Amino acid sequence: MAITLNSADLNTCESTTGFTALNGEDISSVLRLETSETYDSRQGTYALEWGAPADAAHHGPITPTFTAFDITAWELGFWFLIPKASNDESQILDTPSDSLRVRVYSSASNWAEWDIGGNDDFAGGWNFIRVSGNAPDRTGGTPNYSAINQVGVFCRNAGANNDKQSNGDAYYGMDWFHRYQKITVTAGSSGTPNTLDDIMIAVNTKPFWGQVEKEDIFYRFKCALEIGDGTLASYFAEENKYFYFDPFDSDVPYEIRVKNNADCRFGLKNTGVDGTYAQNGCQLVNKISGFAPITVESGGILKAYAVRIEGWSTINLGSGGSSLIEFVKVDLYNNTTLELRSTGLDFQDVRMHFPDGSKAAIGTVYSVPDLLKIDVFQVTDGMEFRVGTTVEEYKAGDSTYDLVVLEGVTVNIVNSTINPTKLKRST
Amino acid sequence: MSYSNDYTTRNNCDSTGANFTGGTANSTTPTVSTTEFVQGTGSLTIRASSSITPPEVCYWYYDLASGNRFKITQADLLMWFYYVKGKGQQYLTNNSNATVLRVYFGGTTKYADYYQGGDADLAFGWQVFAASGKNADAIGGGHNDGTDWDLDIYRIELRLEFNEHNTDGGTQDPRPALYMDYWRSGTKIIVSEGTPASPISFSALQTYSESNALGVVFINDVFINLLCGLDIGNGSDGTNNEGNLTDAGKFILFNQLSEEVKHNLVVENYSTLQLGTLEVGTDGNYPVNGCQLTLPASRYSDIDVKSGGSLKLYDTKVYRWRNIYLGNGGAGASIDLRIVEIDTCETIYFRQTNIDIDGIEVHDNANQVRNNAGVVTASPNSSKNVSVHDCVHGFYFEGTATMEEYIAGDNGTYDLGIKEAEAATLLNSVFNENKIVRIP
Repeated sequence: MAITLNSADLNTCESTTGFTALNGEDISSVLRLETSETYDSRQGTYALEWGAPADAAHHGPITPTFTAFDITAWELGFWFLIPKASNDESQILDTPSDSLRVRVYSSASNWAEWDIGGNDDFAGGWNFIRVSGNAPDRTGGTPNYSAINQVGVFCRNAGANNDKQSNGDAYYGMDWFHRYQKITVTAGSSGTPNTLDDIMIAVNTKPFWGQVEKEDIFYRFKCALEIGDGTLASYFAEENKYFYFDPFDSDVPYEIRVKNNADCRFGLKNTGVDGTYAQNGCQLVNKISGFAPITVESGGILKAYAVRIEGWSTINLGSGGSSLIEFVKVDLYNNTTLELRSTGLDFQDVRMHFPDGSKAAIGTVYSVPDLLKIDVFQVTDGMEFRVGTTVEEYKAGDSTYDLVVLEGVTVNIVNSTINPTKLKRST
Repeated sequence: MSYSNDYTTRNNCDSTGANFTGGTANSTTPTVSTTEFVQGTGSLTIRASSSITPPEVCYWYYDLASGNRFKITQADLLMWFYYVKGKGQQYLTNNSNATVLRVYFGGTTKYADYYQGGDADLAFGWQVFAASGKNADAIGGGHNDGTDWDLDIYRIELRLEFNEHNTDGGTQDPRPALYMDYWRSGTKIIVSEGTPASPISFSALQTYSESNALGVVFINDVFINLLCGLDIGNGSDGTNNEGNLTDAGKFILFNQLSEEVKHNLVVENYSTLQLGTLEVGTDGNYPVNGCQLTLPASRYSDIDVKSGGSLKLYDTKVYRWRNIYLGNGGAGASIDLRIVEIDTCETIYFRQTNIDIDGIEVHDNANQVRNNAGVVTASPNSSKNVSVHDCVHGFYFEGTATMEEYIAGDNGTYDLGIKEAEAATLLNSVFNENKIVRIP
């Protein structure tokens, strides 16, 4: 088993060296290295803590410069400790919602800034904060999003918490500025595949990643998920889980990708006296619909049994040709396109549909599938067949066209339900 | 139109007249704070004196009057706790039993402890602590596990293991207090809100819970966490006592705390629960955007649609419940199930005729021993594609009934059970003819 996060450190908060502050404040008076509670750091040995004066202006530290990166390709994350102290302690103002801001710089006068929230938006204690993309709430100068080399964290404070003579009870804490894109799962075996438990062990072991949160069988992902590295035989399997991908911005999509030589299974397929049936499935839901793909690369295996797949952009099954795809009792809801590119493809009891009034793009068949039983409705057009094949139990309804076939291609439709007046030839 | 609940206040922490008693010399006597509280007019401060020798447990207890006692096997005990920690001090240790709710059974000797976690587990600020049923982490004082759980709770107690004292040493040493507020016990929220044309959603329950400091409904995007049972409507009549709740695309966790204190989902007379959406097209109707209705493992509460209640499940998964009563108590309920997966539940009771089914799949894993699928006592209005797999039994026809497209296989004892002297008419159905039994 191996679970990795493709992160790169920006600042590990093991030293105060090089930190500056907004508005020319004397950062040395309010920033210090926390050394007394090593277990309370999120990464490495130490965390930093800092305080701010009591006023409604924004205050806060700015990291030293680091190797520039593209924030439209990578997400920036860090840990921030927010004390929700009693009335004699300071805290971030609850309103306005820009009381906590994160600013990234491409140079001192060229920056982009996001409003993260007010006091009530955060849990007390360590919060995982992230920003990405090129749609900030405000900018200064002309930020170069592909060359971000500093980050600042600014708060509006309800009261002063910069008295170093006190016990520092309400000091803010921060740790581990880093960039990341995805969690990658490798190795395992068909008998002992990687699971979400393995991912959560990695997430909750120091350094704490913060990219996945769990509540019972509900898992909230704050990064992409990749199965396999393209070379090593890798296995991942889960049953009865709810995967919820919760992106910060559409610029950095949280995709699911199954690489070459990787085997990914959601749910169970059983074969009984009356045939094959699926159960114990999962939900794969993306919060912002239509921008993150699910991709099975050539040589990858994806098995989905009793699964709901919702809110993705292109579901590309078998890019490159030789993948193995098996869908049994799968509900494809509100995804942009479905591309069937693998010959090793079995679809049984698959539904593809969209919310009423948002009839979107269609599915396309590029390779001859082994088996294709699908129910398509509420789409602009039904499936488009760009190769000749036989389709069984194809059902379509409430579409402009129920079936689209490329000029010169013959498709045999068996035991199916379509409106014969709603057929179209494509070019 | 109203919301209500069955939670009973055991101590509102608003006055010193009903105060908690410090259990040790270092458990400073609580005082009323009127600046930090979640309910009423105040809360009680909690301080450990500077004389403690860490790690040291301090505790505060309150003896319930005879008319104020309850059984922990019949109701959850909840209270609010306010924690603060800084980079300088971790006031409590990081042990899992650094915070404990202790309840005493029938006196001041026998007790059960419910651990709430250590410093790293606690949020800053106000949070809910809970104790329920036999789900205790420890028992003591001669508590008999076989006989004492159903004794009335005589004393409630909060125990904290301090790593640092939090007694204020002066202006240069401001150490904040910890607080407690609003001890209460109960099981559920009762919703008599919404109309068929304008139903409420789960977010309305969160608003109600927050405005009443119940601390039992939490929503984070599509994730809904209920620490309570839910009655939709109160069943008394159809004028301002009905409930209508509709939601879609949600993961709903009925976060039942113990096996003994049920968090049932009840749809009362005159009331409707709809999960998912049924879109009506020219060529057909499409169940879409459903929900998942889940219990934690080994909890098994019931979904109970009373006579006259209405349940509509579209594109929805029901997971880990115990019994599902469709029309409990007689005719009149209205049930519409389309693309519904019923997984690892116990038994579905089809008890009246006004039931429409278009695609339900009932199944369980091979290790599950509680699921005997369904008991049919009346013919549904319509049924299509009823699939039953890997259950202890297939459906049991307890009364004469007709069902279409019943598909059963790989179940344990039988695929189809029929009570003697009753008849089951199964049209266009598939099952193992060698696994049909007559049941006396």
